[in-house]
Amino acid sequence: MSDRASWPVVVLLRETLANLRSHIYKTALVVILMVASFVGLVAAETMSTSQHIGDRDRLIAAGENVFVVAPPPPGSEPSLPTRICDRLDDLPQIIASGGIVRVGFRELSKAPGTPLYVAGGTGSIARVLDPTVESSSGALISSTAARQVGIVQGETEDVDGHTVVLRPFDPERRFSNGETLVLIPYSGPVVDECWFETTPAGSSTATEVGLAAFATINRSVGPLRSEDLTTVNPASDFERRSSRLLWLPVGGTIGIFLSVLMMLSRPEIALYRSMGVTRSGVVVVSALGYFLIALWSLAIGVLAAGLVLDDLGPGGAALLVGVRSGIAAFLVAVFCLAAGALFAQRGSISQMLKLRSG
Amino acid sequence: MRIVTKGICHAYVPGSWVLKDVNLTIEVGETVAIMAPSGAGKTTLLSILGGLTNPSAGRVTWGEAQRLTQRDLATTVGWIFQTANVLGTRTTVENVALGLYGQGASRQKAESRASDMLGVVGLDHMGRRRANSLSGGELQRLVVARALAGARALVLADEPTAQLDAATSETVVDAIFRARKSTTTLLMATHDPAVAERCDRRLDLRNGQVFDV
Repeated sequence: MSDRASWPVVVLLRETLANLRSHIYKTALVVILMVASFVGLVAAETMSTSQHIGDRDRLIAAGENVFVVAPPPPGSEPSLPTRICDRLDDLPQIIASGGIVRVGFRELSKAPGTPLYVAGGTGSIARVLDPTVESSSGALISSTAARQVGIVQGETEDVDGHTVVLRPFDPERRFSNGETLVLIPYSGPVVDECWFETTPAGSSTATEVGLAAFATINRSVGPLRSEDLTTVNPASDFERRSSRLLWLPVGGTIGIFLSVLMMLSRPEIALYRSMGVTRSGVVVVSALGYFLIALWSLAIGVLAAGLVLDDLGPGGAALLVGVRSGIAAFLVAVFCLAAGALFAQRGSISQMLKLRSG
Repeated sequence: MRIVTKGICHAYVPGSWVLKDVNLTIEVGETVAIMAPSGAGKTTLLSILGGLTNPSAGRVTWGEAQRLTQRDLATTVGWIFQTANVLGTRTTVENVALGLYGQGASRQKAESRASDMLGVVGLDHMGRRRANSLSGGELQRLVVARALAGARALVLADEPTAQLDAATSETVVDAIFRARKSTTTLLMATHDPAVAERCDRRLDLRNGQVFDV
């Protein structure tokens, strides 16, 4: 006799949707759980980043590099790449080298052959110079915070006859001695006669350095307050890994929850099996439903996280990482769901028949 | 469907035989009652005859085939289980129609034939009710309608009246015999002598062996 699957796929899909419709409360519960988990993951990531960035008063250690990010003054327009690039040599800079943080203009202490990294302030554009090419050519980073860079990967732009290659900035990267970090605040008035040098590392905080630098740069709009500044310290990234790995238990928990629902559906699975639905068909009818719910919830979660949480963090980077975590959790949940589906259908018919009792 | 078994033995635990050397020939359209006390192996025998369980030893043939496939379960074999397994949140018609989708019927055709079958088992007025609102007897008749919809060649019923009172049992058994076609082979495990009497043939299962009564 033929072993061909006899239930058409269209019928299986229709059954899937009919089951979801008839289990509306269960469906709603799964959607709520998934969306809440997703938003929670993004929030955890955002909060974690905020807490981390909020550490402004810690002393800078020798050899440590600190990003200091300032918001644009009220009423100012975000800068344009061309404006920044046109005035590259006039831009303020913080040079972290050998434990000394310096802020200055015009004089860029960049040793030959050493890379120069530029991070942008809020709403600004940063520029990274390629160490192998002279300053006429470099890479632009669109950034609302140092961590947000990298989103313009692959784009190019012609600025003043020079090809500017946009390339991602690795926020995880630790700076070593001899590398130079240039900090660009925003597109406000650039003062070209200022030179500022801080005390040796260990006696200045990121806030002090940032305030001094930005207060000078932005003197036309008045000094910044310390709470306007945020810092990102790549050296303490390990603190954030715990929140990044949250997707693993969250995804596993959701997956186990979905798998338990699959187990509760075992009589239904057995029913379908006894009526000739193949194993793959049963997976379609049972697991696909929850997969669709999870997918739908993921979309809602992204939307909700984007709408609700965007203002909580220092920028879109945390949101992006959170979204990635959510997607990772989704994949883990789907994996557990698939495993649960395969497990649930095993022995389902014998369970229905209660073979050992007969 | 003609079923022939040769030397069937089955054990869940090695050495502890539930079935021992069962040899049977069941003809097309025959109705057979399998009687035995609880735990004697009725369900095991049924599941082997229905192709859901492979015997530890021996051979079963269904017509010319050596095994039943999922397609056969969808098209030629119908099951009536001890407990009424239905999709509780779906309507009665939808539950019966499930038995026809495997045969390639369209939704409209399946639901139309399901309604007809519900009429045969006396549930024609309950087509739009959710299955979880039916009584035990109604549920079991619903399962009968589903198992027999689509002119099955083989129907296996595993104590279909075990959880019903005498009057309801009679209704359900009536429904089974009314709904089956003359060419449908019916195998029914039961404790009830009254149910067994309505079958063409009665088999007793004792100590793992089958005896024609």
